[in-house]
Amino acid sequence: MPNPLLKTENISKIFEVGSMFGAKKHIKAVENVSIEIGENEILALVGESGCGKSTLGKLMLALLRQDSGRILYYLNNGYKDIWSLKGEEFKEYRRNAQLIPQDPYTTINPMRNVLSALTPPLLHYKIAKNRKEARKMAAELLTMVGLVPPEDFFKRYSCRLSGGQLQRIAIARAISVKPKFIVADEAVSMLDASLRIEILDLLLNLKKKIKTAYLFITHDLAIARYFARDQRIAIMYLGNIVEIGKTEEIIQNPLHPYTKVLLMSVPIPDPKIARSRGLPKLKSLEIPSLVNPPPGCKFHTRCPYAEKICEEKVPELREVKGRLVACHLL
Amino acid sequence: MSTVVIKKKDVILSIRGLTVEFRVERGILRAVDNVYLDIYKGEVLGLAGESGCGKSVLAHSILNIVDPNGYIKSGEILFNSNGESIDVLKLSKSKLRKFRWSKISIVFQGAQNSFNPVIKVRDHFIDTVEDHKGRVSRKTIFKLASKLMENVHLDAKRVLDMYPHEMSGGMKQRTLMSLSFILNPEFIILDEPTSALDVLTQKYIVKLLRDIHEETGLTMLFITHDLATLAEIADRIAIMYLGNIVEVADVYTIFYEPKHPYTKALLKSIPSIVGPLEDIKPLPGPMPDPINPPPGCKFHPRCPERMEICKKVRPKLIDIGGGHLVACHKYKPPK
Amino acid sequence: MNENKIMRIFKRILYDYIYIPLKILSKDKRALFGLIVLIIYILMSIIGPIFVPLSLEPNMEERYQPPSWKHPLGTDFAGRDIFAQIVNGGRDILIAAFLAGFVTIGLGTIIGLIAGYIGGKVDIIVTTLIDIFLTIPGFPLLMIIATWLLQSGITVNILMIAFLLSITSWAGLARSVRSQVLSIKQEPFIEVDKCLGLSKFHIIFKEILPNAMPYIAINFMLSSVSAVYSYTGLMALGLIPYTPGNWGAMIHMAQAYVGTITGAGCWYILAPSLVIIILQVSLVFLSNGIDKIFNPRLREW
Repeated sequence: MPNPLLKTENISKIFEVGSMFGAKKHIKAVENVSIEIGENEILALVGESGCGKSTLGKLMLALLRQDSGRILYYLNNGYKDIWSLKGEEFKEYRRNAQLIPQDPYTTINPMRNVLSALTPPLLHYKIAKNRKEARKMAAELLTMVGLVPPEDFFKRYSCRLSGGQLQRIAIARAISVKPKFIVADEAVSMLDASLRIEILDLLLNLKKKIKTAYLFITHDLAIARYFARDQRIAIMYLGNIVEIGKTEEIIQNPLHPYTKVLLMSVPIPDPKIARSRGLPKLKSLEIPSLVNPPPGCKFHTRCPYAEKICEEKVPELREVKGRLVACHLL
Repeated sequence: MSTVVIKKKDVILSIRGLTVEFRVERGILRAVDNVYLDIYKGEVLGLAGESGCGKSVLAHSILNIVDPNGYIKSGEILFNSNGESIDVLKLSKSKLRKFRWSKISIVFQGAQNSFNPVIKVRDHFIDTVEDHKGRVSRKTIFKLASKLMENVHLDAKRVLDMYPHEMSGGMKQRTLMSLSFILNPEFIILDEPTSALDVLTQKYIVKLLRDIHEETGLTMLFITHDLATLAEIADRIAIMYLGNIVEVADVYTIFYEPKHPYTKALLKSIPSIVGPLEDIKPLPGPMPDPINPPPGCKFHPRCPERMEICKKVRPKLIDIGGGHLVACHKYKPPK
Repeated sequence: MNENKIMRIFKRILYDYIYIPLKILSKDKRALFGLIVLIIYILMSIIGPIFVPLSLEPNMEERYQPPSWKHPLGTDFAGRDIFAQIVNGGRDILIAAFLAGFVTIGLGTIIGLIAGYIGGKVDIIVTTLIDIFLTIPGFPLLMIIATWLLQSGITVNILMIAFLLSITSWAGLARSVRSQVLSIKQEPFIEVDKCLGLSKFHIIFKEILPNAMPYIAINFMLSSVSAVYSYTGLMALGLIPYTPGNWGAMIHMAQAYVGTITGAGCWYILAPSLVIIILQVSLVFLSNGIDKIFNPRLREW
């Protein structure tokens, strides 16, 4: 894609776990990941819990530092490593990379009210000149996310608000600085099933007004399909991206065995289809430990099509039929 | 308040006029509001609704387990087994204990909390069996346990010696299921059994439950907020809204020909990997305050098809033909 | 700044810092009781001495008199009015107590915040320090330091006493503030704050500190209580030079000269003891209500 906004080059992140006196264990949460996000585009990052998708999101927001590889941000007609940015350039990146977290109840400080959650960044970036203007802008933001009348919400604390309302406030916070890139980390997973579409529609509407690129992290393929329609999806397994391409293409015609298995397992709200689907032929139900990942292709321990080469060599992301897939068998 | 006239022996559990309330800061919360529901022997009944609609409370009430600050205000729960009818709510404490787990067992939401963290899995099985059947030889217990665990793809030799914290979420859930089957109950309640699991394990557990059901004819009450899961496993589905049952029908009717406006709206708000995306619409309006529900039909403020009467009179759950129950003023019973 | 702005700021302060806390406290009967008693004590200390001047002239005919209209709490071993002594003695005690409270929470908060937020080597050094101070027995240490000061002839003023009293009490608060900081550092809203570009200063003082405020406020109350005991205790043991009318001194004198709780001299030992106990109880009751002021989640509305 021409001039993507943000791209990662072979980034890896290893977490150390273990007590001070015992042997330290290493968890490779993210391994050799290279993805790009274009301006104003949506990339859904789909994977089960523990696959490293949250970690990847935080790496791209510079909340965590990668152990190898580079993350590049497009600034002033060139790419710069985000960890080498200083001063005004860093401020520019920082402002344009925002987060919408998963748990609505810890998305604002429970000890501070809604107004004090919204105004500080407005004043910090001088988007508002003074407290009065910041207050007015906060009211506008709350209206934009559907919390009306906004004054009703200013003095409230998170304990008196519902999950849906809190998530809207989280969205208001993220868009308050008009960022070019937002990471939505399972932003609707902890909401009631019936609220999810409403919030997703809100995000899509806001995206029309403020051109923002999204890294939409979720474990739910159906939600990913809804949000990233006509955009792209990346499938992640145990720290690796295994397939990435256009949403509808992947959903209709998955190439990677893991994607196929996922699609066969997602519940479908249609009894005739649901009851006639077979069971995916997984070799094992156990997810391999991240401390001792399987050699070669990490999915080979469960993959119904695994062959000898899968145990020995790690597959690379190659272009197959217009998308990128990491599998030896294609 | 008539449900389909069915002979008593076909109905394994009959909930009549159940009302459960909770005392909260702001007042009284009526979690289950005068519910009538019949569950037939050998069926899988799905109970669906958004969080807070009362489905979990309903399920727990069947075994007379209600949160400390809640109470069963009225109603009876008749369990029909071996030709006799027992009102669960009237059982003495000791009879209730015997009753629970041997006649009806329950798999709670969040299996992680159902285990005693300081005893091994094998001891969980021993305790459960001995509690109900007195002293039984360990060999018998383990043989039974192993067979059940085999069915859920667990390596009994390994798992029996584990402590709960050594198992993954999926393993715990499957172990809990084996534990619930060990006493051969006639009826099992599953409260969101798959929500904390990853997608692949979920699929297996659902298929497993289907297999067990086909093999043993066990009656199941499957509670979930995820209607899509029910499409695969349920025979009939009951939809709950703010403490009331609003529609009950067989699974195909619910998905292809829903009648109640809430059911219709709920189905439209589920994203799916098949089907056109334009058809998906969010549920209208905010959820009302459960402590002060709207008068008349509780759904009327959000209902696109509401009429004048809906604002004043609460619709009764009536049979509109063929066992399809709806609580909506738009539908009348066949003459 | 023009007139309007000053009025608005004044109104805001009045509302946020006086009206709301009072409203919260009024819902908790015990806290309200504590607050009222505390206010009575403060008033007594400030304006009391004006109305009830202290006279230290010995008046031997009126020794150990039981309470009467002339001497509401009776007289002491030298015939002096006990009531006057109580009213006048309050000032020093309250000042020392609250000063010690402030120093304790000041030290404890700053040290806890720094250790928690910076982490690493700084944290290890500070935690070791905290652990050392926590194991040192407080009162015996105070006794030793007080005796040393007495012997060295350094004049002891109220500020010194306050610092002294908070020598070991800061450690407990530092530890609990530090663990608050550690647990909050990981929370999603802090991550969002970082993304929103808010400064470290803002995060530590405006986001993390409010979460620790309930502990800090309660610790203030309890440190003051502890300081009162330490102060009067040191005085009762005769380890620090006493000011006239000081309640601790009264207890010391009562012990030395009276020795029994019964009989005519009982008022001399009862009066200061009761007065101290009532103060402590009211502070503890108040601390219950303080929790609600600083922790919006506990409020009823």
